[in-house]
Order: sequence, then structure tokens, then C-alpha cells
Amino acid sequence: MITAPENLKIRSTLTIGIIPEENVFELKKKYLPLMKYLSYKLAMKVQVKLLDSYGAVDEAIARGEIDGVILGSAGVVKRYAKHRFDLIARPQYSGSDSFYKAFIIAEKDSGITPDINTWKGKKLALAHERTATSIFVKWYLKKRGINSEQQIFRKVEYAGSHDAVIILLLERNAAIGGVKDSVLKRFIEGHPACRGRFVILAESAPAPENTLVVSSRLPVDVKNLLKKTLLEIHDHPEGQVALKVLGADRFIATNYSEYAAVENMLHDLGSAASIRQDSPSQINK
Amino acid sequence: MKKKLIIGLGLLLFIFVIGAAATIYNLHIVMESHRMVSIQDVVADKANEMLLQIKGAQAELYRHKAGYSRDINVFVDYVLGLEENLVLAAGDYAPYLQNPSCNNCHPAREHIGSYNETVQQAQKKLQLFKQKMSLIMTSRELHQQMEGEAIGITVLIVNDLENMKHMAITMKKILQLRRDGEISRAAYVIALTSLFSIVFAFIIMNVLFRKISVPLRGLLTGIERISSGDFDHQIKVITKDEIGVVAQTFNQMAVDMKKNAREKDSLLTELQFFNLELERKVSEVTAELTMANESIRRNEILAVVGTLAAGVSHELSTPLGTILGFIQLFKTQLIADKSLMEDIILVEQELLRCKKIVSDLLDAVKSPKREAANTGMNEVLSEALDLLQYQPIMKTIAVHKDFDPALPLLKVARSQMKQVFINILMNAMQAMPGGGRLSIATLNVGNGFVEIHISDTGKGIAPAEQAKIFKPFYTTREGGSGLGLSISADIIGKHGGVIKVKSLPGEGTLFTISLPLNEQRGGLGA
Repeated sequence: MITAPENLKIRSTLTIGIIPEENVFELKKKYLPLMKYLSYKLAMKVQVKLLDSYGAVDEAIARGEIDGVILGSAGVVKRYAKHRFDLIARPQYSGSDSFYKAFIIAEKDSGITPDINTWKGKKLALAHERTATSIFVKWYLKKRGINSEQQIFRKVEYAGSHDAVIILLLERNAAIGGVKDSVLKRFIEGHPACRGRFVILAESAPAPENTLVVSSRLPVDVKNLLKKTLLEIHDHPEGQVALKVLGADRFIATNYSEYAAVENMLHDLGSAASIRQDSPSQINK
Repeated sequence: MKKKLIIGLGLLLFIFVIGAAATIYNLHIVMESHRMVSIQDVVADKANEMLLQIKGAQAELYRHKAGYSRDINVFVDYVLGLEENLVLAAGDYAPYLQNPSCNNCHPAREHIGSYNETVQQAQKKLQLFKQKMSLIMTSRELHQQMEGEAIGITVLIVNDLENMKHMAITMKKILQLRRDGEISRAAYVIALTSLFSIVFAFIIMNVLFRKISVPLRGLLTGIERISSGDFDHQIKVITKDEIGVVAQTFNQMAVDMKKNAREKDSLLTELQFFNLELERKVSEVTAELTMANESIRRNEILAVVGTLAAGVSHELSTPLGTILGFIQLFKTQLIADKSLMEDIILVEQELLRCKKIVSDLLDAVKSPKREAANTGMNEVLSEALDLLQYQPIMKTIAVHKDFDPALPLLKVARSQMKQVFINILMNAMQAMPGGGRLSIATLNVGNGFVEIHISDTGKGIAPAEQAKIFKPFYTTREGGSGLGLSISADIIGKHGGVIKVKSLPGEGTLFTISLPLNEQRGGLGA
């Protein structure tokens, strides 16, 4: 039986925003069992709010519509100092080490190779300009002397999510795409016909998987209980069910230092001026 | 009976189980039909709900397209709700589709197949819709073509859902018809089964009742007959069950009761005989006691009489001696007058007899033991008869003597015994004033006794007087002293004998004197 301390019952709702890194319908279905589990454990309604874009996170936080959000690595690095939120935990997906890589991919029979000369004049599809994948593409091009995507690509389209990028590639609405390896893997698992259709042109250094961060305004006991609940979720049968739907084995604690690779890319791109190295977290590590 | 009851009740139970099973089976069919009809309602409602969801999604899509909303959550909720309902709809007929025999007998099976295909088509369209809409909702680019395709998909999905709703309603009508038919058939079967069960149960109960009640009635009748004393009645044993055993036992009991009744009657008869015998013996003993009492009383009287007689005799002896002396003197002085002499002699004889009487009276009150001697009864009887020979009445009486020549001698007081015989013979002579027959007999009757019979053909003694004649001073004869027979009985009694009288008035009297032989061996002489 899932129970919660009495003093937590004074807060009625906890809203967690989710960035649209993949199909929003599947994304919501994945997180619903986890929210249900947290509702029981925290004795409050824990709900999901889908965000239609990565940029919507800032607006939602500013309007107080969300108490926390599951952010990608770039989102964490870029907003860490600005919003002073606390890192709670991130899932460790089955068969991975809780890190992902950014892939630059193209269809195998498109004639596009890792040689960037073959990329010229093609249409590039990315999820959002603020994702680590977009940063990696920019960093990758810059390392090869190209300062802007427009210098090599005919057009850049931000599809909104990683699986939308894949769909654009499959529908030939784009030739090259930047995607998270974990999303690509799940998409291929869901669409076996796509297996072997893509070639990886480049891949980034590992970055932490999407992490749950919460507002620093959230009561400390709620944050502590939330973190404790997630870190122990794999010990409970109900939690195991939620993890299975999420495709994860467990949740692990996240430290800001794990985001060094993304931070370095941003630094190389000259966008890391506002990044702070010290952790403002007030919650238990 | 237990076996019959078990069989009967078992049959009843079996019938009711069959009836109940038939009823339950038909109710199950009716309920199943009703459930299937209800499922169609649920399916139709679900189709309606899905239509609302897809139309809600369409509206959100138009709003998004028009730029009025950037919140995709409502839209996503519509689509996910629709997707969830489609999954549920796909499972609505899964039990029928997974079971070929069940599906084959389903009255709307062709509609089920079409319905399920439509659901699957709608699910595929929804997946494509979700894929496109996720991109449309999250992309920063305008995808007008894709939006148009998405709207087209929603139209197709709406058509599918309308088809599903229509099929659900059609199946509901088909199933309602079937349900109504099955309800009618079930009602008919249940009524028929109930009627059959009741009739068959009545027959079984009737047979069972007869099997039990008839023997019981016979048993009760038999009990009543036997209770009223008819032990010859036998209950007819027609069964081998407990009632039969009871009947057999009862019959045996009746036989035993009859036997006991006979024994009781026999014992009762014997008891009555014993009672009579006892009464007779009591009467005899009472008579003997009465006689003994009489004897005691007579002895007491005789004792008084003896004392009186002794005194009287003593006083009379002197004057009688004086008179007799003078008579003898007269005889010597009146020898010449012969006629006077004869009278004087006669007076002298009478005086001698008076003296003898007084003497005998004295002897009577004396114990006979002192003069007891072996005496022949025939001889004593002859002497007594000789003494009476000269009595005038003897001329009209024929004397018949029947003496036993081998009669043993008895040890008795001869004079007393002679006095007894004279007394009895005198009574016999006086009972025959007009003449008659006097019979005297002696005989050895064995068993240690000798009997002397003296009978006459005189006037006899009335029965009321027969018991009194041995009492002292009782007499029916004018001028009698009433002492003769009482003294005689006393004498015989002192000799250990008995004197009895039998008499019929007008025909005569028999005196029987029994004397014991053992007195000869020293009874009186000791």
C-alpha cells in the first residue's frame, strides 16, 4: 500500500511539464502510470502537462503553470542558473547507462555520408533549436569550419520532436536529421519496417537523459519525498509497473557535473557565459 | 420402509434437480441473451463517446490551426481517450472471436466480424492521425497539407465510428429478437418442466404413500383385533420391510398371548378346584372341630352329670337295697300266694335292673381302662340281644344278625360296651312300635378298625335332630332321660372309636360304631 506523510496532504496538486521530445500522445501515455504512482506516494494529485515546444517551458515556469519539468540536457544547462531549479532524478532506461547521444542521421539510400560535402543543399530537420541535438549539430559544423547551418543546408526545419524529425526523413520532407539515439531506438522498435533505413553520420559525447527538475520554490519536504520516492520506485511492485511502461529500470540521482559535455559544446559555441558551475540545490543529494 | 423412503425421496430429488437444471439452463440462456443485448448498448454508447472524442479532437485541431490555442493537452486527452475506447471496443467481442464455436452460433456473427474489422481500421487510422498530429502540434513550421490529411483522417475515423454505432444498434435488434424468442421458449420449458415435476412427484408420493400406508393400516387393524382379545387373528404380512417385521413380530406375540391365555384359564380352573377342595376340607375340619367342641362340651356336661350321677347313685343305692331286702323278705313270707309271688318277683327284677342302672351309671362316669379286657364284639352283641329278648315288642321285630366270625377281639370294657349296644338296640326297638326289621352286623373293615352296624326300619330321625341326639338330656321320646346315646358316644369315644348315625325319616336309621384294633394291643389296658 502506498502511503504518504500526513504533512504532505496540505498541497493538492503537483504539475510536471514534459517537453515534446517524441510523439506527444505516446509521451503522455508513458508518463501517466508514473504520475499515478507519485500521486499515491505523495498523497497529492501529480499530473502531466504536455508542452508543445521546448520554448514553452520558460513560459510555463514564468506563469507558474508547472512545478517541475522533465528537461533535456541542453535545457538543464541553459536554464540552470536562470531559474535556479533543483535536479531531482532521471530514468535509467533499459539497456542504457542513463546517458544519450545526439545523432546526425540520414536515410541509408539517400547517398548522404559523414562527409559534410554530401550534406550541402539538403534540408535539415531538428526537434527544436534548444535541444542538445541542435547544439551538437551546430558544434559539429562549427568544428568543421561552418558557423551556421544556413551555410550548408538548403533549409532547417524544427519539427518539434525527435520522432517528428524521423517522420520527416521517412516522408522525404527532410534529408538529414538530428535526433536522440534513445528516441530513434524506440521509434525503430515501434516501427520494425524502419530498421536499417538510417545511417548515422555523426554522434555526440554522452549527455544525461532527460531529468526531472523542480522549482526551488517547492517545499523542501516535498522535494525530498519526491526524490526519495523516485530513487526507491524500483523496490515497489506498483513502481515497477510504472517503470515498465516508461521503459526504464530505475531512477538515479543527477548532478550538474554530469552535464559537462553539453556545457563544453555550448562553451565552444560561445553560449555558456551564463552557466554557473556551483550547484544551488537545497535538497538532499 | 427406509429403503422405500430413500428411493422415493431420491427420485423426487432427482426430478427436482432435473427441473431445476432445466430452469437454470433456460434462465442462463435468457440471461446470456440479455447480457448480449446489454453489451450492444454499451458498444453503442462507447461509439457515441468516441464520436464525441474525435469531434472534440477535430475542434481542437481547428482551433490550433486558427492559432487560438497552444495547449495541446486537451487535444491529446481527446485522442488518448478515443484510443483507449477503441482498445476496449476491440475487446468487446473478443470472447466470441476467440471461441470459434461460440462465434459460429452467435446470431449476429457477420456483424461482429465487420465490427471488429472496422475497429481495427479505425485504430490504424488513429495511429496515423497521432503521428501526423504530434508533428503538426509541435512543429514550428506550417504543415497545411499534413493538416488537411489529418482532418481527412478524422473524417474517416468518424465514418468508422458511425459504422460501429450502426452495427451495434443492428446487432442489438437482432439479439433482442433472439432474446425475446428465448424468453418465450424458456417460459414454456420452465412451465412444462415444472408441470412434469409436479405430476411425477405426485405419482411417486402416491405410490410411496400406498407402499407405506396399506401395510400400516393392516397392522393397525390387526392391533385393534388382537387388543380386543381376538388372538386367532393374524396380520397379513405383505412386505419384507420394517412394517413386515413388525407384523410378523405382532403375529408371534398374538400366538404367545393365546398360549398364555390358555395357560391362565387352566390355572384358573385348577385354582377354582383347589378352592372348592379347600372349602370342602375347611368344612370337614370345621365339622370335626364342631364335633370336637360338642364332644368337649358333652364331656364337660357328662363330667357334671357323672358327679351328679355318682351322688344320686350313692343316695339311691341305700334305699334301693332296703326295698330290695324287703322284697326278698316278702318272697319268703308270700310263697303260698303264687300270683302275688310272680308280681313280687317281677318287682324284684325291676328293682335289680334299677340297681344295675345306678351301678352302670356309676361305671359310666368311671374310666373304662380299669376293666378293659379282650372282648369279642359278636358275643357282647348277643348278650345285649338276649337281655332284650323278653321285651313284648320284640315279638313283632325280625332280628337279622350278620356277624363276622373272624372278627378280632378288642380290648374294651365289656360292660360299658354292652350298655352301649343295649342303648342303641333299645332305641331301634322303640323306633319300630308297629314292628319291623332289626339288622346287626360286624365286620373288619381293615385299616385297623372294626365296625358294628345296627339298623332298623323305624320312623327315622329328622336331619335337624341327627346332630343333637348325642347331646346329654336331649330326647324326643316322652319319659326318656336323654342320657342313653350321649353316654354311649362318650364310652365309644373313650375307647378311641366313633359312633355315627345315618337316618332317613320314614325309612329307618343306621348306627355305625368304629372301634380301633390298636386298643386290643393295649390302648385301654395300658
